Formats: sequence, structure tokens, C-alpha cells
Amino acid sequence: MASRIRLLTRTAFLLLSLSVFFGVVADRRVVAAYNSLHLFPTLASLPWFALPPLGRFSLAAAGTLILVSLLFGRVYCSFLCPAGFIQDLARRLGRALGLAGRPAPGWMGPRLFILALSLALLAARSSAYHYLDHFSNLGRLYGAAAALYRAGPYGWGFWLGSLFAAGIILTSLRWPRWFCGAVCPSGTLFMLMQAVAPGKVRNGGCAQDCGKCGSACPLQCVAGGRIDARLCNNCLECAAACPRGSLAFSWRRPWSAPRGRGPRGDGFGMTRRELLSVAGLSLAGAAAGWPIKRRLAAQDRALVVVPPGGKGYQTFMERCAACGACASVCPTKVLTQAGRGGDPAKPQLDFDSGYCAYECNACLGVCPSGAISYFPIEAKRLVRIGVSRLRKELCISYAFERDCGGCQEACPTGAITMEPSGSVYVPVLHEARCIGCGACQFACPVRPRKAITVAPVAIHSFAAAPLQSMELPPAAAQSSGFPF
Amino acid sequence: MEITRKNLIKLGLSAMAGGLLPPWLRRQALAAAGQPGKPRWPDLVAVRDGSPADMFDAGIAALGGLRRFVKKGQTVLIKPNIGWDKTPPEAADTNPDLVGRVVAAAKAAGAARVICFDHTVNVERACYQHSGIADAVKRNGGEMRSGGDRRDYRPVAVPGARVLKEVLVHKLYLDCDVVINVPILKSVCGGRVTASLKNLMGVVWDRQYWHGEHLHRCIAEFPRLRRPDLNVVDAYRILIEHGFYGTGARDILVKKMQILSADPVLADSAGVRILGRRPDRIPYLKIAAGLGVGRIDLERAEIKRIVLKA
Repeated sequence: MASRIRLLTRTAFLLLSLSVFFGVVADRRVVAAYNSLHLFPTLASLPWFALPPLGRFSLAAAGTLILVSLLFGRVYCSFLCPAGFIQDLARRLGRALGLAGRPAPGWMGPRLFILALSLALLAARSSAYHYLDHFSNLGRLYGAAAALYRAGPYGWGFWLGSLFAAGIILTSLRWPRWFCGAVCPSGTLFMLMQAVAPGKVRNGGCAQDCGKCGSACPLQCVAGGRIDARLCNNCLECAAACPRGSLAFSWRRPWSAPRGRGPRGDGFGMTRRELLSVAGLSLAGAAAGWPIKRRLAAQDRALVVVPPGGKGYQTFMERCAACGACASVCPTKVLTQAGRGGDPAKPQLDFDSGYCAYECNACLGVCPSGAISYFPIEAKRLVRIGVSRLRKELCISYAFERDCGGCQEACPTGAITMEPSGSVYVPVLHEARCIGCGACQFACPVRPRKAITVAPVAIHSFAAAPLQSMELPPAAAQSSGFPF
Repeated sequence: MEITRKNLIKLGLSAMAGGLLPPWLRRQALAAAGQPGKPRWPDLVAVRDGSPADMFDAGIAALGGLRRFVKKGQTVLIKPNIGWDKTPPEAADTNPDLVGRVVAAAKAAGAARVICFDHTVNVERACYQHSGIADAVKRNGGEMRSGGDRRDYRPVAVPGARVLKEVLVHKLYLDCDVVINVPILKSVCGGRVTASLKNLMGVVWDRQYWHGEHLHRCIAEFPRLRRPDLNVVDAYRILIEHGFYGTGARDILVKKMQILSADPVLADSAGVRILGRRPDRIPYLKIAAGLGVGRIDLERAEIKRIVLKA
């Protein structure tokens, strides 16, 4: 029963996460609620994620998640998490190959170090936690699969996603859910919540070691009726398998539970020595956050164009969780995680491979970490993410006196007009109206250096309203009869 | 015969007369008698003051009906301009009612399949949807196809081309039996005017090559590969300024006109006149006429003018 329900909930959640990630579900309420089910990007977007008009959906989802976790422990991991689902499937493969069978090492020290570091990075306004947390890595895993399907682009996002996929699958062949028990900071947070949760499977007095719980446990964390609280996901499989009811779901106030009394209790069964080292590592993690953020920020990286809604280069890079959801829903694929500047794992606009579509604000609706704020399409059309630069010495019309007009043809705002010059028309750039969408750079036929390119701006602003025609049409065009 | 100056001139003159006379006589004879049994149709039909769909019905009837162009069981490609993510009132894409009516007429003429696509400039799905064309085509029994997959394009040589020697062309344009070109008339700067000929840029993969090499020559040379069988120029609403995209209501003029012709150059020449310009000032039209793609001399073409009363 428990396994059937879990199969259902996890399949449904996997489909939901794929649908949001690939833009199949674009209802912003659903996306906001889905995104808020992930602790780290949600913490990064505090307090903006609670703002209207979608704040109530985000708050409801995040509140439900935290309440349920405080009551029932790590159920996100066991009933929802797609990364966990993938590892469980890998474990089945491992069992078929005869590799599986050992529980993952429940290292408390490294885990709490990673959690403390991630939280410290959050507090220091750095999103470097994205290398560790499951959500960003899962997004990059989806992105890497999509890149394989589309044959590119292969960049930092692809390699990080592939590394994560290989890592969780290969380790799970032998140690089920090694990543969940050794790395994932969200998992560690949920583990701490489970320690105080009143509703969970608890050890009973088992006299008879029949081994059924052990073979039912997807994490191999129970044997002889004893549960390892460091790894347990509260998935209830062992309770369902136990013939004597020794292992069973029970409801007990946290303060009345026996804790810290060895593996039989609810606690982690740490010795004083272990406890001290865990505390030391946690403090070290917390202390490392700020220096790491300083170090990363000090690296002098080339300014790049970031998506509209990112507000500016620095703000975007600080908040972006590098999950790649925005790049995934981008219809022109101008947004890629294969960039060269900034933090190369974070999406940026590459105008040689596409342009930012004027009538599109898809990426603005999917960001889980508040790095890309939402603008309705009317406002987004005016957001200036860069400014075009025209090099006349490279331009076909200026340098070779041939008609081209590719840039003006593509320009959605009238920032480029064609003016007569001799026998041809030449492009003239009106910077005030330019929004840096890169349509001109993408259309420019000059190779290898384009004659018109978008230069990034450090801080986004609003451009002047698009060109409106002020002249009346030529008299000949106004007549209503046939002019021939 | 002794070669003297006198004889040489005589010989030259008689050779010229011998070469030129028979075609001239034939044309005279044809003009006098008409082709026996076959009615003569006008070179160009211009319609005004009706809805786009009604103007097409009237215009195609004057051209001898669509059955003249579409035979039973054929595959017909309809090529409208769907390049831009804009709505019908913005006049950047061909009027969807017109496209729908052309699809229906082709179906009624016995076409086995009526296919429609464009290699869009903006995001294809958005263009197809917001232009209203995908909906109009499907409603009338046609199929929408994608123009965005490079694997659908084949390299072909353009006969007699100087610049556009080889070009990647969509397989539908090469393989279908009949091409009906349904552009919208616009005034733009680089090509100065877009209508039938420039609309064919939507069936090739690499448009940037055209812009980069010699836009006018490429536009003029491409139809030598395959000339559309029928051109229906939508001039109901026309953009007269700020090119392809248009930036506001002031750029749009409601002309309520339509031009139908088998000759894309002739159709475009009429379109240029509607925009208040001169066809011989549009470089690609002049080059195309020189290459024998079509004729630019509206004055000597047989034109049927139809005015619909609402």
C-alpha cells in the first residue's frame, strides 16, 4: 500500500516538475506553488515570494510543506522528490546487478557542514548553494537531458547536470540515496525536522529478526527492527512489511520521546565526541559562507546580458539558483547555460544563437529564486537588458553600399531606421528606443564579427516608447482608386 | 556571293527579318484569332472594396477559377507571410480570412492535400497562433507544417544564378504540385517593398546569406528555381512605414485591395504602385524582369479591374 501510494505521488510530482520545467504548465499560480515546495530557492527569494498577486499560492505551498515536514518528517524526500525517485530506480538496477545492499554512510559532520555552509551562503546573498542543493541540480539534469535530445548547447549547465546525473545514479547502485544522506542540504533540513516530528515510524521491541523490514526499506536503513534516524525518510515501507507490528507509525509528542539513547531511540545516536565534531563542522560551515561569497564575487568576470526581470547583472547573479528553468522555457533558446561570462552555470543571453522575442515573457514566470521578477508583457517589452552598438566599418550598407536592412527588419521597437544614403538605405541606430533584445545581432549577416552587437548593461532600465509614425502617408498611397 | 559592304548589310537585314518575323507573325495571328477553344485570361486581376475573402473569390473567378491552377488530386502549398508574432489588425502577416479562403478554394478545386507553412522570423508557434493563420488553415481543411527544422531543407542549384547559386529550400516548396503565394503588401526599407517575390524568402533556410551577399539579386534570382503558380497579394491593410514589424496604427493604411496574377513580378509591380512608388525604382523587380522571371511593364499588361460594392 505504502509503495503504491508513493509510486503514484512520486510519478505525479515528477510529471509536474517536468511540466513546469519544460513550460507545459505555464499557469503562474501552479508554477509559484510548485516552486515554493523547494526550500532553498524559496529561502533565497524571501521575502519577495510572498508578495501579491501570487504570494498566497507560494505561501500556502511553502507553509503546507513546512507544516507537514514538522509533523511527519522527511516525507518530501520519500513521497515527492524526483531526485530521490531517480535514485530509487537506480537502486533497483543496482539490486538487479547484484551491487546494492549496503546503507549509505550517514555522515553527520559533512552533512551539517554542507547545510550550515548553504544557509550561510544564503545569508551572505550568494547563490553558490546551487552546487549542493538537489533542486538546482535536478533542473540542470533535466536541462542536460534536453540538450542531449537537441544536440546542444553543451556548456557549464550541461556538464554540471551530467555530473549530478552520473553521481546520483552511480552511487545509488551501491548505496541507496547516497546523495540524500550525505550531501543534499534540503534533505538535512528535513532530517532535522523529522527528529522532532510527532508522526513517524518508530522502533518497537522486536525480538524476532525476520528481516522483512530490512528488505522492504528502500534506503537499507532498518535492520532487526531498528531504524537509523539519520537516513530514514519516513516512507512507511518497513511498517507495511512488518508482520508483528513492531515497526509501526505512531504519534507521540516530541518532548516525551526518548532521544539520544543509542540507535533504539528517536535520536541520531551520536556519542559526545561525534556531537562535538558535528557542532564544530557546523560552525566551520557557517563561518565559511561569507569568505566564499567574497571570493566568488571578487573574481573579475565579463559582464553578460541577463534576462529581463533580472534587474541587473549583479542582482541576477546573486539570486540565480542556476536551475535552468528559464533557459528551458525560452522559445528562441537565446537563454543558455552555456555562456562564457559571469557565473557560467547561470543562464545568460547569447545573441549569436537567438534573440529575446519581443512578445514573450516566458522566463519571467518560472524563476524559483526571485532572480527573475515577473513583468506583464506590456512592461517587459520596454525593459532594456543591453544596448546595440553599430560598427559602420563592418556594415554591408555603409562599407559596401549594398541594400541589406536585416537589422531594421528584425527590430521590434523601431530603434533602427533605414535612411537613404546615396543609392542605398543605411541603418541608423536610435539608442533611446533600443531594449537590447538582440534581434538585430541575430539577423546581421556579417561574419565572423557582426556589424551590430548588443553590449550588456550593468543595471536594467526602461527604454523609450517604440517608434510611432508621425508622418502622413504619401499622397499617392492615399487615393482609393487603382493607381495603374 | 561576293562579300561586299552592300551584300553584308543586305544579309544582316534579311537575317534579322527572318529571325524576328515568324514570332511576330505568330503573335499577331494569335492576337487576331485568340487561341482556338481556350478563352484568354487577363495577366493580372486587381480587386478592391471587399473583404479579403470576397475579393479573392471575385478575383480568382476573373482569372478563370482556381481549377485553372489546381488539378484534381494535387498537393498544393499555400505560402502566406506568417513571419511575425503579430495580430491581423497589425498587418504584419497575411490576412487569415484570405488564407482560409484560398485553402477552401484549393480543396474545392479537388486538391488532395493543402499544406501551409512559413519559415518564420519570430517564434513559430506564436506566429502561427497569433496571426490567426493556423486556425484559418485548419478550419478549412488544410495542414499547418513547421518551417523551423533544418532537416526539412534541401540544397538545390538555382539555374542561371550569379549570386544565389545554391540555396537550402524547404522540401514542401520543391515537392508540391502547385505553389500559391499569398503575401501581404508592405513597404520596407532594405528591399523597399515586400510582396510576392520577397515572400519566397520564407521557404529558404538561410535568409542571412541573402542579406549579406546581394539582397536584390538573390530575391530576383530565386524564382528561377521555381516560379509560384499563382500570386495573391493581400493589400487589404498595408504597412506603409517602419517595415516588417510596424510600430503603430499610424503605419497602417486600409486600402481594401487585392492583386492576383500568375506573374509574381507583375503582381509586385502593381503592389508597388499601390504603395505610391515606381516599380522600376525597386532594384529586385528590375533585375527579375531582366532575368525573365516576369514582366514589369504594367502599362502593356492586360489588367482586369474589379470594384466590389459592399
